[in-house]
Amino acid sequence: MTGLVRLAALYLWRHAGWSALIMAVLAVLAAIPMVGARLAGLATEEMTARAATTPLIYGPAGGALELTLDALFFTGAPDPGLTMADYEDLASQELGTVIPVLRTHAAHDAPIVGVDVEYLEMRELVIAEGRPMVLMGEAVAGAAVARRLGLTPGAEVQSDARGAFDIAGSAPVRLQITGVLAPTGMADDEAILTTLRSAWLVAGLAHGHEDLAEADEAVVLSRDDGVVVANARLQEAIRVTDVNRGDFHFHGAPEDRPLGALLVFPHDARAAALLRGRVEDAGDARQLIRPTEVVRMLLDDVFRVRALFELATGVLGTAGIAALAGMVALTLRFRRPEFELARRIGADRGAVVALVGLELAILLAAGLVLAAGLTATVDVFGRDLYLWLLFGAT
Amino acid sequence: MADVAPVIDARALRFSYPGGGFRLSVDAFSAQPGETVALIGPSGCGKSTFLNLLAGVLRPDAGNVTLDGTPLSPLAEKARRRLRARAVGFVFQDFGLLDHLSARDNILHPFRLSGALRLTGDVRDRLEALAARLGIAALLDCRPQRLSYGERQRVAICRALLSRPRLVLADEPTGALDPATKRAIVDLLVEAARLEGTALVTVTHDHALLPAFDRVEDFAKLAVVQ
Repeated sequence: MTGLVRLAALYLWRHAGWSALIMAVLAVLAAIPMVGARLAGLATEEMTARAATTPLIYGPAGGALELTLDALFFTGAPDPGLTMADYEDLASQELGTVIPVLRTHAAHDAPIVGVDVEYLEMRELVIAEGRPMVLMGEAVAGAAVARRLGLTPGAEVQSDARGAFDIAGSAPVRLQITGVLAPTGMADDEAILTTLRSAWLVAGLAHGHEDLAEADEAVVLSRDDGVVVANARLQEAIRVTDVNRGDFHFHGAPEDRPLGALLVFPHDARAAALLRGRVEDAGDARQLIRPTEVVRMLLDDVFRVRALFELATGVLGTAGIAALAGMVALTLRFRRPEFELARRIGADRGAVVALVGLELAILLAAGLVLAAGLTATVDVFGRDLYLWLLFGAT
Repeated sequence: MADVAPVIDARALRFSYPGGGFRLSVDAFSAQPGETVALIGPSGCGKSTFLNLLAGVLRPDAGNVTLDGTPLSPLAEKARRRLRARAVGFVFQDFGLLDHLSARDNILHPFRLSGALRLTGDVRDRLEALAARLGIAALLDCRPQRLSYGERQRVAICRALLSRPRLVLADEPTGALDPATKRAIVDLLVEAARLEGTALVTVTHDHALLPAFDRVEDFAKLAVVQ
């Protein structure tokens, strides 16, 4: 038997390309269903967990799924259709904790999400390094985005020049990282959390620039009773510092500043029912949704798609196995002279069959080990992979 | 020599391939231990078929072949294979070496694929000794494609002789070689056969090599081919 093992191993080794191809095909055929099941399980677990910790979401009328994706998973097209007036109105009812969320821009594909500091507490987010964001221009980075961009407290991250909400374009803003979150396995890992004022700043609703009273005369068009008019050469600040923080200012009424959604944590079931009733009574411009229901409907769709995916995988798998069998049959045909030689030198037919069987068994075993390795990789990096699949970056 | 039982003895052989078109008849052929026989004849006259009948690779329609005292006809395929592994060594014109194996592994190939042969330390020692005698001791770890044609044929001869066969069948073993190498290969085969008491039946077209053999059989006279 050791002689046969040696012969089989030598054949596979000397035909390494062919062996590797067969092994890879076997590994992929075996791994796809396993990896698919693991990823689907992770996605289900994560989405359900995230939704379960957020009782209600208040947002502009429209798709409940889009609102859920925006407010909970920081993905999809942002729709800042609420204002601070909505927040004040809901919070004043004192039926629960209300946390505003605003996402308009990203930095290196990581969403910049404006929230209250209370958000960290409600999500039970732990600052692994540094401190929470407090002042305008400060932010904390999720664990994954911090790892990806090499962010530590004291580092800066610059917002992308243009966000979906920001059609005219706005100047990029450098946010100072004051802390890094511990990994959660949820969407916060991929986010840069900042204060609402900072989010508005990023969205172009606030700005700072050099003091016009001390500005270079080259940028001043006119001075009239303390009113200074400057030209476009006036430098806008892109970094909030302790020195210039006071120079930043908003235009427009505070209650008109935009919000994407409000996360609502009612005190109890009665409060939740009251809120839902009041929102329904208020008309069609706003909606109050239960994310668990939305996620359940989404997962129902996902499971339907998954069943189709599994069917397609089955068909492809069968085709793959047939192609593999064809390749093996073709190879055996090419090896006829070898088998004829074996017959002439008196080789046992069983030994020749065992030799070929052993070669295939080695390839199958190696393919399965490779598939198990791929699946194990998904176990280790599954959350990152899942986040990447769902949110587009890790 | 006539008093010694022949290693190979074929009587009243009749053979045709399925579908007909080729019929071979040989009334009698035998070879004694240590005897070297050259089979000559035109291409396509059935010499290779005859060698396969002698080795039990092909089964005759009629008649019998007795190999090393054992009639082949009653034997099942498995038993014939085992007898062949033990008693017959083959040398082919195209060497019959596997490219993915080293010379050593090629020589040991029959021992790894046949239950009739046991790969012992003695066999390995004999391999080294045979390889030294054939001048390929330094080439045993090389794969065939790195060897010259002459070296490849020496490896094939080493494989044919390793199991101490009673009969070596060589089917045009010098066909692909230059004249000097042809002579050297035939001399090696003949010398080894005499030394080991092995009967050697060689198919050849090269008349210059015939003096090296004890006996020359003209296949056109030995056999009837239709």
